[in-house]
Amino acid sequence: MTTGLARPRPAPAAEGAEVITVASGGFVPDLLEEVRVEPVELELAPQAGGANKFVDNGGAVLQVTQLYLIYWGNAWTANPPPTPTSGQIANASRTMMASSYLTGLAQYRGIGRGFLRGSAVVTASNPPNGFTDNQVATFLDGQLNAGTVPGPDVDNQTLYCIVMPQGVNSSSASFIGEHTFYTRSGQRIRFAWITNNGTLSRITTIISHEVVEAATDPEGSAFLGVAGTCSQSGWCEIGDICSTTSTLDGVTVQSYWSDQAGSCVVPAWPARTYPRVGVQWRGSVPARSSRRWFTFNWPEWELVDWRMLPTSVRPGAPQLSWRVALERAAGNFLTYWITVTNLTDQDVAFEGRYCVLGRI
Amino acid sequence: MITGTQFRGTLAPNQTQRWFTFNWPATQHVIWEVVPNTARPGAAEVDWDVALERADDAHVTYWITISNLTNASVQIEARYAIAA
Repeated sequence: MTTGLARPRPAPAAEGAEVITVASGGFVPDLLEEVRVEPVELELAPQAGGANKFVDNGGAVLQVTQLYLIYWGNAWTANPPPTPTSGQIANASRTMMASSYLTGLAQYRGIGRGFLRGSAVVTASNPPNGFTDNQVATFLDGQLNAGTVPGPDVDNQTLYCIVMPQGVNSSSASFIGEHTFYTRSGQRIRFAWITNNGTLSRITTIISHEVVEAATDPEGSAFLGVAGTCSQSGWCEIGDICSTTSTLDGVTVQSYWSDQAGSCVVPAWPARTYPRVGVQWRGSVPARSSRRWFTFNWPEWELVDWRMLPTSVRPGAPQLSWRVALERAAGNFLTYWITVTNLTDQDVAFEGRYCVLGRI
Repeated sequence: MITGTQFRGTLAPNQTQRWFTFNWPATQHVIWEVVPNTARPGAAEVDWDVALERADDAHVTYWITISNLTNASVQIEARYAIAA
């Protein structure tokens, strides 16, 4: 099956060409041998010391959160349109999910960034003022049944976030946002609701809070505070003891607790230069055979290109080809599996070189 | 360097599927990487091949063939970097 997609790009700055080595025909590689390569670029995060405030209770987490926004009520299509509009909230949420905001969750079982999966405006009903969790769950279930909102992704990493019209509040007036779940045909449906005071910064603050908490504790069974961490009742989660906000890529987000830093954080990108090149490992491949290496703990938010450069000088014919495969070991971490094939009748030594092209 | 995510999709167990993306300026040097969005530690999940079509004087179409190397569904995203 072929799928077409189009996105015009800006005009190029320079011409370029890439030569791809292709294995010669009639050659069957030997059995693969896997070789583990220690990470060169892995950075250790600073440790604050002291006991952690949050512990892993082993329950489900969202490794790659797929945020789906649902705007409930005909106020979202009013003329003139509300402030902020559904489009503004979606754009800000997309930016937030792609930013460095969620990278600090790697300390919690490797959780990584997510993305905005989509959004929908539902005007067939209006949320009652003084709504309850059950009413929100019933509304969401109805949309899933009707097909107006897509079902969870195959890995059930979807977080549905119902955005209320301005002035519609929860039955618990002190709560301005919440995340929880319900069970649908045996599957846990993770959702959040957020209230709306008419300002984009307030809305993204609440969304960010619910996203980090749902990622680390979607069902109240994963990362929870030790006794005495929170003063409130209910699930004690990493957003609950932090109230400061910061702006990332123009979007206001709320800080969350980092056990690693021992403080509330809004992570920024580390200072790194791009492109950045290096030799990840050196190896050799016997004549007419293949070997496979893997190299792990590469952050998912960088794009890496690989080259296998022969160091055995032998002019006249191609010596090596290679294939790159990828594993998402955890939300934040990639493992590269690189199969190197020797196309010659003699052993070939080489360097496994990488080029970190940039941040995604 | 300009980077981004061009598309996302899901592959069935052991499925190979081809996408194409068009209207890319022929003068650009674009590098592609396909990243699983399904976190599943222990083994490689996907690999990919890139083929090129010169659609007209000014534009190329990238044909990206992605293979799921596992016995379970894998979600993916195709990322690009425009080197120049």
